[in-house]
Amino acid sequence: MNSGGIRKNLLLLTLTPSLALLVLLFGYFSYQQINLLQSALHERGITVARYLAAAAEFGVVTGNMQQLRTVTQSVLEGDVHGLHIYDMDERLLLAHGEVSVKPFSPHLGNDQAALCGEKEHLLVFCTPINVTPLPVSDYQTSGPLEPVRIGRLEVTLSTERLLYKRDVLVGRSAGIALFVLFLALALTRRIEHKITRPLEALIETVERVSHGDLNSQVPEDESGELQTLQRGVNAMIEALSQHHDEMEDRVASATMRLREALEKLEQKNRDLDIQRQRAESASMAKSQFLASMSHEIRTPLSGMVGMLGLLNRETLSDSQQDYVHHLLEAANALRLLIDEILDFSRIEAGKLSIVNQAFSPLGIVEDVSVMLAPSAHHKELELILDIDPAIPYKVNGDPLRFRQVLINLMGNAIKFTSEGNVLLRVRSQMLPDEARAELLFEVSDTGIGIAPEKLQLIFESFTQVDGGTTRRFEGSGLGMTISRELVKLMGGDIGVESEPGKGSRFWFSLSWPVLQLEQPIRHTLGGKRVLLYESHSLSCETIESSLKSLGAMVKSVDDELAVLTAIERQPFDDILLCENSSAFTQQALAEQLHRRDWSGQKPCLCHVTFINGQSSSELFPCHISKPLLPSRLLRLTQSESRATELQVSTFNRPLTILVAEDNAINAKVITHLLHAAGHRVMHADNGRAALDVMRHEELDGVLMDMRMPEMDGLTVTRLWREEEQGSGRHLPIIALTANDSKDDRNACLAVGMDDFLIKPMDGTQLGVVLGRYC
Amino acid sequence: MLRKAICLLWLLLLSQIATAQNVVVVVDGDNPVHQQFTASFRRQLANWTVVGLERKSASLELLNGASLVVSLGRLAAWDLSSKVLDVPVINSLIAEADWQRLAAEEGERRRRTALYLNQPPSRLLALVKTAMPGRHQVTVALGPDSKRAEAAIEQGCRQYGLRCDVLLVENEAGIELALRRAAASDQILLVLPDPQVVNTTTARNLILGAYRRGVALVGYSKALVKAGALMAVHSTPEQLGEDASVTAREALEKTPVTVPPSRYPERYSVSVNYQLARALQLDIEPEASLLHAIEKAERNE
Repeated sequence: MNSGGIRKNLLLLTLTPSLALLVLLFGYFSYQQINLLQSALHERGITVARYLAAAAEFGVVTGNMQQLRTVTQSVLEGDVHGLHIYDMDERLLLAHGEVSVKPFSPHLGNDQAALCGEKEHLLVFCTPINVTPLPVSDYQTSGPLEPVRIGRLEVTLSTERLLYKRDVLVGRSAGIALFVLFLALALTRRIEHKITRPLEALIETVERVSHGDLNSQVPEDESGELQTLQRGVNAMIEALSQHHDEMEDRVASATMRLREALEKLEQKNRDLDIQRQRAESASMAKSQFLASMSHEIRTPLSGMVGMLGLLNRETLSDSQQDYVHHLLEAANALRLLIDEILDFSRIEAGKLSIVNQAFSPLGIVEDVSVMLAPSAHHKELELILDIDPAIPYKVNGDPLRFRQVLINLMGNAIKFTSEGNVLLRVRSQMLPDEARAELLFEVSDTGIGIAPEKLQLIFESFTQVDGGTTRRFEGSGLGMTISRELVKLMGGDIGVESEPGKGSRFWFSLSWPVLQLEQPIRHTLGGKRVLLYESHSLSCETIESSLKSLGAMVKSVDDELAVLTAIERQPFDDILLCENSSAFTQQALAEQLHRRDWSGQKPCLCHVTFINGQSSSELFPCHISKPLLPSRLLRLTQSESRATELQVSTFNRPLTILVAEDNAINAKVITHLLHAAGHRVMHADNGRAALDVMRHEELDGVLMDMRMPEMDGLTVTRLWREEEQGSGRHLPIIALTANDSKDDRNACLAVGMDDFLIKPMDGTQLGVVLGRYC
Repeated sequence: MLRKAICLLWLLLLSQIATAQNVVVVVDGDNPVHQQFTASFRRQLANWTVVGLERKSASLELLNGASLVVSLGRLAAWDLSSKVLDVPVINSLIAEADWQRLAAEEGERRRRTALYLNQPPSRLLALVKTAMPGRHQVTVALGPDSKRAEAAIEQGCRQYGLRCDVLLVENEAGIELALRRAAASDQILLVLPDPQVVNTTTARNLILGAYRRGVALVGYSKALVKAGALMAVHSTPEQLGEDASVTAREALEKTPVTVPPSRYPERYSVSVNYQLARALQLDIEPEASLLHAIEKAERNE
């Protein structure tokens, strides 16, 4: 509560009753006084009239005007304004003053007087003039004597004096009231001041105290309750001050302890920082070591893989081929293991980052499917692709990491599925802003499944569901962890649903900015009539869907009889006979169809097999390997297309390629691959030699190792680009490295390299890259 | 039943009246003056049977059964005058003028007499002479009724050595004239009972006029003194009752009963307004002294 409130309330409490009482008393007494004045005037009028009537009796009876004037003269003063005396015949005997009021003639008694006229400030009182009867005989017994009227008298009184007195009365009363009011106000103000001043001092002191001035004291100059309050406040301030001092001591003590603790903590932090720096240095050293080791391991491994690849192309005995095959598998497994360890170490070190570049998600899906199809087919697994036709053609993202995740999930599915199928389902959805698309990738298998309690561990590091020492499946256990981290880095989600014995469903979703929604030139099957014979229902559905999305009119059947029935009923342009294993099960049907007497145009028989499946070029002019990608289905438009899938891209002329590689084995492998593609190869085993060759030879391209003696590949490229600048020509330089880190990639592109190949590469990758730039 | 009772009372009254030597007093029952008179009269005639008879009930049989009839007041006198009575009648409480008028109408009647209500003029003049011996001129205002007393007045004035200025008043202006005349002389105005001169209406102005002019108004009643006159000679009802009893005894003691001639009251009183006397700066002796002096003067006549 502030003093203003107290002041206001105090004034209200004291002045309101006083004012009300004052007004009431003023009104009441003024009213009473005015009434008294009016009554007094009225009585005076009646008294004067009656007096004059009695006094004028003698004069009227005797006609003694002198006596009448004498009698009436004495009252003609003050508020008596006029006087008129009439005889019984209404003759005016005496008149003093003039009055325009015509008095009425009230029926008055013989000795009565009354107000008989009124106008503005004048009152007229009337009374009869009687002769007073007197008993003259001692023996008169005829009752009371009646007066005899001999005239009448009118007295006119002016109310001006009354009004003046009323005004004076009201004025004096108002003055007194105002004086009392001001007196009450002054007293109230004084009392209020006496109360509020110490209260304001108290409030001021309390405010100072609340702002920390604990030395403030309220002057104890009042008496009574206020002095008690002042003393109480001062005592409270003293107690507060003591408490504050104690608190300050405690705070100082605590601060000192805290400061000591902070110093200790700071010391610990410094120690920890030193330890962290040491750990970081160690980690960096470890990473560098890992990177170096990776490079050092991958380089000879690349050579081994390359040489094994070359060896595998040679004519070998079955046992030799079996050895080479196992060697290749072991080398690839080792390479995969190294890659995973490297990726994991990068993730752990936070050095794995995401790049954004244009790529086709469908292309990646097809590449991965083609890459993993042999593994699946080798295990007699059906690899099924169910791809949404609305998948964007070009998006902006990291194709390598996307590919890596897809490979991990599909590879795992194949790895942990012994029979049945592996389904890759891709669904696309444009986000509301129409600038991004969210793609959902589901990899379902019919494998062993995962127990619910293990589902949470599936993305943990170095974890396999079957984690015992007798585990059946190879792998570092880092694949799912890496996939989870990569998806997170790409801003997506990843998850798994599984039931033991019924398979698993891994999924991840990624959102990419859409660069190009549809393919610029869309090839279709142009309304081809296709008869699809696929006994695997799920595969049948997806192939039928793909064919329809390409514009084909599809009739799908699931047994041979249905095939025969269908061709009897309607003509077809193509008949697709699908195998569900590596065995050649459609041979009898194919021969039957081949022998059939086609009345019209003979449809093209297309054999759809596993990659390692057997076929017959005589029976089937068209052969397509599963999985049936849209690009592969388009081969149905060709009259005869037994594709040579392993063939490198075709060039119009042989190219002259400089292979700058210090590792002799790798150089030999690359040289062999280029020779196999019909190109001419020049070799340099260090950077300086490579630069020299580049200066003096007409080259179509350079495959440049990043790490070479004397001068590394980056320096060579930078120097060459400097020399080349202004010449108007551009020599394609493709980096060769065993390390696929982002730093390396950026470093290569920064110095002017055109692309990036990771060792060991195969002929396909080499041909694609050269075909792109040369 | 009521009628039978009235008859019995009537017979009883008649038997009483019929007894010898009884007196019937005809009165107005509710008149206090009559009651005072009758009481006084009865006290004085203890040896006679005095029967009060209401004036309106006074039948001829009852009146004739009495030895003497005494009437009180002018009305009773007039009532009895219309009756043929065999008994003598004393008319009391009647003004001399009224009796004169009654007698003039009836003629001489030996068996009737009157005791006047008013005092003889000489007695009033005696009062003037006694109370204000230093003044010798008296203004006398007479009216139509009192005009016949003029001779008596003049005789009284001569008797007491006074000069009388007799003035006949016929209207109110006459009263004013009388006052002026009195004021112009020895400032004594004597008035006798006469409605034209003094009545309830004129009394106030007469008294006021006298006072304003310093005139000593001498009247005939105590009421007039109370109203503002200076002094008066008058008889009370008791005194008149005693006078009537004396007259009745005289009549009854004669055989046959014979009433004496009419006369003025023998017993009287004097009343003085001493307050007015002081206002008029008059030194008046006490009333008893005045009465004694008047009686003495009348005995010396």
